[in-house]
Amino acid sequence: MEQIRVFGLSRLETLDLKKQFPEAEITFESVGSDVHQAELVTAALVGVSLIGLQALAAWLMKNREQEKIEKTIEVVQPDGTRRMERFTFQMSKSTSQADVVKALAEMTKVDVTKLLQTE
Amino acid sequence: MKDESAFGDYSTDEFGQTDLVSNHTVFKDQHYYRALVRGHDLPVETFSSFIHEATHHWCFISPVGTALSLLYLSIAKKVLRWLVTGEEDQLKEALDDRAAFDIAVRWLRPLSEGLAQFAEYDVLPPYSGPLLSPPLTATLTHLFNLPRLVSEAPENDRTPAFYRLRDDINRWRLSRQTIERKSELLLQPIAVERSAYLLGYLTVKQLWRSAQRFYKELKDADVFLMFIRKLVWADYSLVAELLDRRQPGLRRGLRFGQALHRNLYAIRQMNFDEDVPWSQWEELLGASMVKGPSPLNAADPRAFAGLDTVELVAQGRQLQLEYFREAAEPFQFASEEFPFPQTYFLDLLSERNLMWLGQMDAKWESTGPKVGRIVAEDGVVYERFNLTQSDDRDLNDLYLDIYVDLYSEYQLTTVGNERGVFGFATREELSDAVKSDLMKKRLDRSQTAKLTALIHNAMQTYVRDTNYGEQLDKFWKDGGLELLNDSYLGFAFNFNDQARSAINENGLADVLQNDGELVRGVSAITLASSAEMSPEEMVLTCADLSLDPQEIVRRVRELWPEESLPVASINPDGFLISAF
Repeated sequence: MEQIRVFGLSRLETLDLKKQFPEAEITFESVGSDVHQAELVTAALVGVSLIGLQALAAWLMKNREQEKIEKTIEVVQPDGTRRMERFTFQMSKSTSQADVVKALAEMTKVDVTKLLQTE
Repeated sequence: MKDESAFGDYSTDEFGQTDLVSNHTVFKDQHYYRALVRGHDLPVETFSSFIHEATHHWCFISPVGTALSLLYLSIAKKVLRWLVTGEEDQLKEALDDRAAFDIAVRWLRPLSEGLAQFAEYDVLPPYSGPLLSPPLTATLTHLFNLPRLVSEAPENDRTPAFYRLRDDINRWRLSRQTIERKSELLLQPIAVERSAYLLGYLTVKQLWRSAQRFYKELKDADVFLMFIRKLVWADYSLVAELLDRRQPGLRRGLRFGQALHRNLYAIRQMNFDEDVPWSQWEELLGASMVKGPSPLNAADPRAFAGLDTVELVAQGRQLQLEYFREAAEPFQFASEEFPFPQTYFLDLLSERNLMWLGQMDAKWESTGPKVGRIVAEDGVVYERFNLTQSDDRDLNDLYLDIYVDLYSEYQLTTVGNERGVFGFATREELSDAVKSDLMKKRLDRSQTAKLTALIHNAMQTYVRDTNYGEQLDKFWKDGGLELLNDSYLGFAFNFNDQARSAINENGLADVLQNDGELVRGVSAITLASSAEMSPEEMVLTCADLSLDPQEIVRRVRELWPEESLPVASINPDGFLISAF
């Protein structure tokens, strides 16, 4: 399964998201194991599925007051290859979670139709 | 500060980072500290980050912290010499030292982070007693203007000020931000290879709970912080293990780890409590507040030795002095192609006592010969500043660096530009000894940061081309990591194996049924417990969060049977208690 690697998603926020999206697969990785690294700033890995993208969208939209979502994320392919992407999304009062999911899917080049068929 | 990212070894977190080698602290919220230049109080939310980093700073200036810095600088000097001259004769020793350094730093990391978090979540101004740690003193003095609060009280009694500050800090601790930060800590993995934070914090917390049985004075979290730091970070027998080059580096690192474990065990067992009255400890801990005469003992003028470590302590002191002489020697291999300042190493060592709080831009406005005002974006900072070490020709853009000395209790602002630092100002009247000491310092943090980054890169360049990394990995895989975890795990759970096995990769998450709201509630109780609050007081303190401590305690009781290690409970006197 493809994964989206993202910084800033905390373990506590993940518990909240998992309550809303129990099927979402979110794990954490340590950023290096040596003493030079910040350990409270860990990277979260969100499994790419419709639920996973919905959970990610819900988190990105957590601050509804913001005008724009800007986040650097990394798409990790099943074979381990990675590519960095800059996700930007202009928010408005009418923005729905589905809009952000669609934009995330486009950016990560994930076929939402295919996801819908498998879930 | 233009270049502050690459340092030798540091403690780093979401607040900032403190470099173990230079003791240079970089705060992420440094904009707050600009208010200090004008003598303004800071908001209470600066408490957490300041006391956290100040605790690192205080540990790093201890005998063990200084020994690690000296060891690193010794390695750096040899590597720089090789870079400039190509001579390789000292490199074997440098790599050996590096192994001792890396192992010791990793072994200390849980304790280092544990103490900083203990200061952040548990330490409070005391109800009584003469002892106050340097991080807490500095926090209350510089951030919250304790001297002014005390001067407003009748007969300069500091008790009302301490009560008021306790209330402020408790309200901040029971705010949503701090509760969520503490929650994040409680959700960390417990194994050291994943995170040092929860393991270190629980170790300190259980040792604190245990220590109170032997000396009632250790019930005060700040006094316990001083006590544990003195018994580990200020123990010259650990310095001896680290710096004794007669032993190979890997073995020195391992012996350092074993000695650290022994010291933690001694704190838990406290076999000396009947022989050593508290008054002796008070004298020893209080001595740390006397101004230190040299960079080697700025915060620890009196050496501590256990009954069975007197010889090792003497050896550690001697070795530290030898390493200091070696490091302080001018660097003589600079050239036109490699213009490295001869005095960099001595400058760095002599400024480790100063904690850097940040930098602000300013402008110079001449008002007379060698006199002018210094103006920042939001107004005049210094109305009449006399230039004693520079003239005012072409003087325009300035930068001001803000420091505090945690150990001599003063605040300092340096004035400089792209040519370097040429003046300083303080709000307090300084003693002649401190003034004279300051005049000798270079006080150019931009330069220090730049050169330290260069040294770090040089070290990496050299190490990359050797099999050092593989050897160190092998050390950890062949039992080192297991020993390191075992050094802490027993203490962290008070040797309760059932509790230990219940807390794993997800911290308390599984125990608390992955319920984020319950985690928040438990975190709030852990914080209220340290503040000795009843459930009713907790509800009043964080009324806006709608927490129900009685209900949280009831739920936790069903999920966590270990009464000797309570997650959230109420004692027979009606106060909240927690071991977490």
